Amino acid sequence: MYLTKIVVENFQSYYDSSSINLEKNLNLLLGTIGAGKSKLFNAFYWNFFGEIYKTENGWCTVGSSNFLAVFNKKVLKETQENENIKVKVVLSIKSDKDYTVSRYIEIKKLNDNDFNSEKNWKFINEELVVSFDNSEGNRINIDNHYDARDYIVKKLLPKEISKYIWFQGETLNELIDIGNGKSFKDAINFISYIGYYDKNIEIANELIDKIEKTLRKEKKRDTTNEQEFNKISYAIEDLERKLPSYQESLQNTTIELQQIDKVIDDIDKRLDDINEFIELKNKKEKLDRERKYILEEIEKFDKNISNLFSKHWILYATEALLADGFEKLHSYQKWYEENQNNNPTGLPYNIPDPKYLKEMLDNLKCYICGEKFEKDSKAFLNIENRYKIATGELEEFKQKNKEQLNINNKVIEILSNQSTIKSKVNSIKPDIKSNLTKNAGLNNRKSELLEEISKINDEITILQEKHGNKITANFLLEKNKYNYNIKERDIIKTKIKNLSETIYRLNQELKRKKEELNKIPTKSNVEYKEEKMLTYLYFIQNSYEKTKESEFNKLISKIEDKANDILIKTTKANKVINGKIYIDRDSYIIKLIDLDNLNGNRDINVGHLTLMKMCIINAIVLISNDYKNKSYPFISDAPTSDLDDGTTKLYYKVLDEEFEQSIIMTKDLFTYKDGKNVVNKDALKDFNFKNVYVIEKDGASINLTESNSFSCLKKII
Amino acid sequence: MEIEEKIISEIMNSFTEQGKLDKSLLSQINKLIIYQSVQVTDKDKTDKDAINYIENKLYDLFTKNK
Repeated sequence: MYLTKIVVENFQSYYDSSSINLEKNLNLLLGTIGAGKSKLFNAFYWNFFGEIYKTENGWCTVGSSNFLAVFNKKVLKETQENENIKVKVVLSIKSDKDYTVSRYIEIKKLNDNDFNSEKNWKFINEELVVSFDNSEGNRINIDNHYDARDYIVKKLLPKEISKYIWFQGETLNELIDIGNGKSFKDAINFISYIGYYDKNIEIANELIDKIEKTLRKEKKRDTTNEQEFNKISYAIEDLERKLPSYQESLQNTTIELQQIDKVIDDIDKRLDDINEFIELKNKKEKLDRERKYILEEIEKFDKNISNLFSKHWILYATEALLADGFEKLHSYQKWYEENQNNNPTGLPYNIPDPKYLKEMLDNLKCYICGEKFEKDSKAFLNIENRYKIATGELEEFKQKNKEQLNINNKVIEILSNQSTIKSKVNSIKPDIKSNLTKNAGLNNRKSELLEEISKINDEITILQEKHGNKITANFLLEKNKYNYNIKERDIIKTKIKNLSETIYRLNQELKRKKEELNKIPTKSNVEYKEEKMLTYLYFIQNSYEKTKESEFNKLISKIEDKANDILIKTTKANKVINGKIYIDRDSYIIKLIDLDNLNGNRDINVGHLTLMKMCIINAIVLISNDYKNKSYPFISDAPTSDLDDGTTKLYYKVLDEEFEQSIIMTKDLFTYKDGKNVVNKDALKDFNFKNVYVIEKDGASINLTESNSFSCLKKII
Repeated sequence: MEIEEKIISEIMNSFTEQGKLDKSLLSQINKLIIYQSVQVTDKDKTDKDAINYIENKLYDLFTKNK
């Protein structure tokens, strides 16, 4: 069986009429938070069963009361007084025939007062119609509401397993309670023939009882020892009277045990939470201490850095000054060297010696070239000038020359230390850098710590909200409750043991008495029909018991295998220790065990737990399809909220491969780009998903409300 | 295959040590119980009606096979 089309009209967030064609295999309906995914899931479920799921209330029936829950707010608002409106969902289904299931509710607006109040509306009618073509090709309409409802449950989708096959992600814990085998046992009974086997056994037992009684009556008339026969017969009747009350008591005590197990489980969870709270508090305190230390360290570094920082800036300035100074010194040195040899004669000022210059002036003859000259001639004046410099100004020059030489020596000394000065200046830079790096590291750690503390605070807040602020004060109270209930459970267990032993003893006694009764000879010595019947019935009853046990074990193994197969396929994206899903045969408790330690549970996180539950649900549904030789479309809203991206996609792939049809509403497969959520089309292509629809909000562009916006369906692949 | 037929077939497969019991008779009684039991499970019949029906049929069968 698979769905080919859904039409929604004025249903919840869907205004007017919207429809999509559905295909075999996987159909993905993508929508961000609040787009209308859960409302579409509700449309499927309401169409078949007249119920919707609300996060705050769980499953709710919608009919002559609570009808506004299915109507679109925009249409409720826009409807005029005395005007009628309809909400309608139509599903087209392909199975052994082409079916159409149509459900609608019609209401009338009584006045223009608050449109959200049912008292301002009149319920007119609800109609459910199942239509199909019969073998002669004539259209059959089952339009009686109750007949149509029964037809759906019997022929299309059994109500008992509907919540597994059409599965609301939020109800996952109700469907499969890992720590309590009852929900799983119920699911097993729903999907398999185990319930039928139980009934077979019950009927065979009642039949045996009845025929045994008839046989006793027959034999009583025919017995050779009436007194003995009556004595044993009364004993049998007495035992038969006693046994049901013991059995009832055992049944009630077993229920008590289940209830107390649930109470212990709840306290255990609360104690776990309290322990978690205490652990978190300790962790927070440790982190706070680390944060304090780091803040102190940061402060120290900050101070150090502020000192270094000013030094650093001075150094930068000094560096520039030094560079400038060195350049000037180089210029000076160059000038000095150039000017050393830069006088008009090209000779040092003390050459020739002034005494020779005096003689040249007295003798009017140049000693250098040997030429004579006239007094006051140009040559005379030149030598006289030189003599004056050499005698009068020479001392000054000598002094200047000496000072310049000293300066020059200093310059040379400074310049020779240039690289040392530079390296001293530069050596401070790495210090600053190293300090800055350390400080950045500390700041990073500080951010990490603050983030960790914030997360822990959130977790603490959640736990406090869940258990009240006196969470640790409750610890002792809860612990006492836990111990009390454990003791009570032990008492109940002992009671069950005693009752079971008594029932066993009484049954053995009954069996013995029956054998004794059979040994008393009859007068006619004939074989009674009832005796023969009972021989066959005992054999059949025994076979029923054995077959039930064997079928049950086979079924559990099949579910385990299928669930593990799905688990392996969906977790191959991650290199993690997945363990193996194991179902305890006695308690039906589902465990995830480590492959190296088959007796021990594995520590599992929320993602693993969700995945494990989904693997079990899918395995149950697939095996149910197999058992009942029918395939149902698997429809689910938000099944993958707790899973990572890769696992989510692989899970969809499994659904695509395993189910004839699966319809998944999900907020996954979106990516954040340019300030908004957009469909991650690359991911869709990678996995070759073929039937993909987007659910988007339309209507008002800002300040969206339920009565000014509505959901739209669009096929994108 | 209908549910009844599947269950009947499973039960018949378990009839391996019937000894002197007539296999055909076993099969008839088994079918009788299972068909009635499925009707009771599907709420088409009450337990009491189903048991009375089987009982009557059993008497018929064992009268014939006497």
